[in-house]
Amino acid sequence: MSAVNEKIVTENIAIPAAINLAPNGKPKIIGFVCEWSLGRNDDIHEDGTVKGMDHIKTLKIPCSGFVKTEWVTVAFENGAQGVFVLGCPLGDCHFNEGNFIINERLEQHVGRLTNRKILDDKGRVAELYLGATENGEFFGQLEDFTKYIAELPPLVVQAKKPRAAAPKKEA
Amino acid sequence: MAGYTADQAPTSRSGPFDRLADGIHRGIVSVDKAINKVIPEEFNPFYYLGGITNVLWVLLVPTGIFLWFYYKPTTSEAFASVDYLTNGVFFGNVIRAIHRYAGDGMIIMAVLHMVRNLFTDRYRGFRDVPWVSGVFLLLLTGVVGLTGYLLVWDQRALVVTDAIVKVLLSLDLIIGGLGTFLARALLAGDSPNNLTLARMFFLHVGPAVLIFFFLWVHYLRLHRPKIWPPAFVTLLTIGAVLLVAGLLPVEQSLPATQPMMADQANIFYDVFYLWPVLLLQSASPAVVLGVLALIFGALFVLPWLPQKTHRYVNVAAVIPENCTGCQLCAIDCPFDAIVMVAGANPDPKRNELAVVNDDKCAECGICVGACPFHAINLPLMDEYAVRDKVVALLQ
Repeated sequence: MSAVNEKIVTENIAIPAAINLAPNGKPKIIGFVCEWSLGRNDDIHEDGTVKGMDHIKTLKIPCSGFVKTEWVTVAFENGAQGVFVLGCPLGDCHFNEGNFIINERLEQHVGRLTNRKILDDKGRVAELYLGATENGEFFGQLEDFTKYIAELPPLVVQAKKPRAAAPKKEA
Repeated sequence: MAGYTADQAPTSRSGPFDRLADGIHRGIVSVDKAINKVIPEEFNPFYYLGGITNVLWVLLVPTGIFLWFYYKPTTSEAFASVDYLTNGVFFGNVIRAIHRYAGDGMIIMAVLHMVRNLFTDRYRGFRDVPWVSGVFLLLLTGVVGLTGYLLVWDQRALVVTDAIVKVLLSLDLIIGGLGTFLARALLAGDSPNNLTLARMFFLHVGPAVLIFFFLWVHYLRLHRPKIWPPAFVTLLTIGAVLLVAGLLPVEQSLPATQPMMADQANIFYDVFYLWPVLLLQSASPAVVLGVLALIFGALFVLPWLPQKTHRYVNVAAVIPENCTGCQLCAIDCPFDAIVMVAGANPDPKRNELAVVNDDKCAECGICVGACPFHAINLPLMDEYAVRDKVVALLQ
């Protein structure tokens, strides 16, 4: 399956990364949403789009600590203008430490990406920490994030081939 | 992945009980938010309710040992010895008040800790062992507190003893003779005598020692349990107990050896430990026993009542060929579910292999995020599938 995946990634890069904007004219944003923080609410459609914000696509994950930093890079390589991770409030993670762990990992990874000039602004990766009932905060913070991303120049990331050595075996 | 969200996601919340639970959850979150605005979130006492309970427990042990040096567990001398340690010993009244109010605080904090974990959905699935050991801890704390009020052997102790005996005797309705046997075993006879307080003293200290055992079980499934809160919260807790102990000395009553007070209403009952005694004033002993059995019975089976629980469906799976034995997943796992087994790696140069303990695994995927070598995976949420989904969402 690895070869297939690598192919998908490279094919996508072959397409000129001019399509940075979603159909509604706003920058494309990918979100990783912890199912314990806001996953129980109906703020997100079945297909992962946030209600009323068609440019934000989300993935439901078991815990914010599940996010591999590699996926953040993959998202930017495929035309995302911003990435956010939504977890439970710091200190109140459903799995005790997941949000502290992703906080540390993202800090290191985003620093690395900016040092390598892959990212122009550290603000392109946001971390939101919200409790299961804070819908209002969720939409407000996402609107601020969209505004911030829209003011930045469009981001085009050229993926290096191969990105990493192909793993020996997969599940 | 679709199967994952459909089958194992938290249960849909539409019924009236769910709406009530959501309301309480919303209240908890808003209290947290309000505190986080005033003090940094790493000092929020509501994130350390279990740790505060532990601070109070640690406060109770040395003060209890101090009181034990002066206490004489016989009906004739008990009240006099407590009177001496209160009025004759330097700072004795403060130590006794600390022991008293830290005990109250312990059960308040334990119940808050329980309510918070119940309404934030942290009591079932892989958390069954912490929950059941926590209910044992609550039960033991209640028993220790109840017998603590008997040791003073004042007028209130007589009333409480009478209440315990009445409740035990109501057991005779279920199994004939059991209640009588237990009541005789408790009192060392048909009525309070000189041996009674020795048994009460054991029932005060014995379950208190058992608390240490259940605390060990309570922490067993955590890699880094928050046993001790930050210094700010610890000092705040100790300061609050000292303040209350200094301002409100423990109330004095008449010894049990004197005839009963004519005015029973003047006896002060601690509502946190002695609410069953207060309930007994308006209900029959069988009802009180039923209420207690119902509360603790419900608490014990609670983790298995909800239909859908995360358990054994998405346990992290190691891919031995990719594992380098770097320990990153084992270090990051908050539940101590990954152990590094030496010599198990298929590659002899790498030596150690990560092995997942299914019973401890919470299926959170923190290990997947930790592994840079694609060597650990959630079966229902394959990391390559997630990467493909990210790509697909951006088209």
